[in-house]
Amino acid sequence: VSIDLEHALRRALDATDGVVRASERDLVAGAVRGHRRRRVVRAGVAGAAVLVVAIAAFALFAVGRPGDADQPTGTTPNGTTPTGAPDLSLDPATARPIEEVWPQAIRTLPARLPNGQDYNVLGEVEAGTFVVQAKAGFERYGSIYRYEAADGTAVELIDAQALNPSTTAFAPIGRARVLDGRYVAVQTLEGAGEPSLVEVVSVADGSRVARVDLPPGDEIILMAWAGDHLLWTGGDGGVHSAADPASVIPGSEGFYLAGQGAWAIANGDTTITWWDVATGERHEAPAGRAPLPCFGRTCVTPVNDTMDLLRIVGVGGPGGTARLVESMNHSLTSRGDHFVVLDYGEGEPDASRLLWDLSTNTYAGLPTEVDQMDAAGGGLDILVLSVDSRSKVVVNLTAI
Amino acid sequence: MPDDGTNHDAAFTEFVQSRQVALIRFAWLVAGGSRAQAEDLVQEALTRLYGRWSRVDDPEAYARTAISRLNISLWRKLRRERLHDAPVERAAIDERLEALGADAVLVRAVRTLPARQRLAVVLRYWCDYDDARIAETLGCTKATVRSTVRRALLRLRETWPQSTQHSMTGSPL
Repeated sequence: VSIDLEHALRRALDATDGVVRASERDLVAGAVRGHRRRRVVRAGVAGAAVLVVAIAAFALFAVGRPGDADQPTGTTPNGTTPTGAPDLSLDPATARPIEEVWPQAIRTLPARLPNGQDYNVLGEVEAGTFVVQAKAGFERYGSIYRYEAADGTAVELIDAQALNPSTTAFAPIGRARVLDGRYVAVQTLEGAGEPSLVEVVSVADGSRVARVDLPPGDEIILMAWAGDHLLWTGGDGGVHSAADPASVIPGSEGFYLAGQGAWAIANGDTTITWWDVATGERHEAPAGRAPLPCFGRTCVTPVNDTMDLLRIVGVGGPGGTARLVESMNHSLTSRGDHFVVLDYGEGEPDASRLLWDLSTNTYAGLPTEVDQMDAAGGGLDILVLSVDSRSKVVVNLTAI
Repeated sequence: MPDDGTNHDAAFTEFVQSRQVALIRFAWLVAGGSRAQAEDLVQEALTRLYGRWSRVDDPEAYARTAISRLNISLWRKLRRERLHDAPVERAAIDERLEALGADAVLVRAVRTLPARQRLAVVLRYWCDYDDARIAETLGCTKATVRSTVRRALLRLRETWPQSTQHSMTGSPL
């Protein structure tokens, strides 16, 4: 890269002076209001928190779990108007560690594969059988293996170098994904502007299930297995099908796959739309102040200016009824229809993280030190609790 | 920093009034999204700063770090948020950006980089941070910073054809 480019970069970034003007918001008032709210929440006593949780859990139980059955096509997922007090206030100070709350989901694995490589756990496809991907640093991914915890063996499913022997890119392949509990898929990384491909193999025996050639520059963010073919969403949005990799599926513009089967979501300014690309099932819900995280078939939208009062909306699962949760941070995501992870004070000494099970209104504390994105390897069924020189401890969310 | 409540609020208000445009501009560059998203990041960073005002030596550096970390956290990466500016504001930003001429192409290219690459580029070439300070901000090693910047420059070179015409012979990637 030339020094000219670096000079040009400095000049161009400096030239943005004047492009962005002052905010029309009262940022001072917003900061003071947000700080006071958080201070109040922190000061909450444990007994009150337990009481609120109990009331919320009882209320949820009394009306029946909204996720017992999918709602019919065209219904509005969120059943109540999000006003008034939150259903549930989560208190990081009183949260029990996840090892105590859901011990059945904890898995302890060796720190290294038998060949000595570090790895990410992508998923546990059967009890004690894991799909893992070798790694060599941040955002550097290697070959994919099926790892048997009982005897410590690792069987190679995809040889990264063999799949992409000619790459001059940062790494031969990207982060892999487990699809449908049976397959594992990965995109090769190529030089800028060059085409790449997606390889899908069976976890059971490593046999190739599909291979899709991609147009140059396409970067896949999320993939799904729709019965017999691959769907994916790239950086430009829309849903692609292996049947016609070069163009998005008609009508999918503005949608992106949501990490749960063929469900896609479009976050509009006023409406959130869910669409099952495989079956055509659709649902809509009004967006909150701003559409925020969506994952699986659940979205979280803030309902106030400081974005610490949140509404959970979704389709089919426990998020199918509008609910409010008072949170100190609106930075969060959900896995499937059942889990929301909430971060409080990210990057700060008093940071904390909670895993909230929407189906039971139970929550537990998670460590904040682990880079979950890198460690989770794109498979949000797995959260990393700790890694040291001898072992790595992970949570299998599907076991909760 | 003063501890007295009145002075505390006055100093904080003065800081926000004098530096909010710079912070929004920083957030707009590193977030790569809308002006509204940038303001959300700044609001959140200022909320944290307000609670620590008396303990923070360099409030602007603290706010930048908070914005950076908020922007690259795992959960925000997965938000797939679709925040939009009001059409009038969006058009105004586009117009002002367009007025930059050739620089606008590069700014737009920076704003479309992956989050970590974008952040590393802005910290390096706009904030003039060295590897160590970027590493501290991003929570990674200096080697990771160097590789991240290198990858970003490779991508930017595609958008900046002049680099192939004027590149210096032997310049390492």
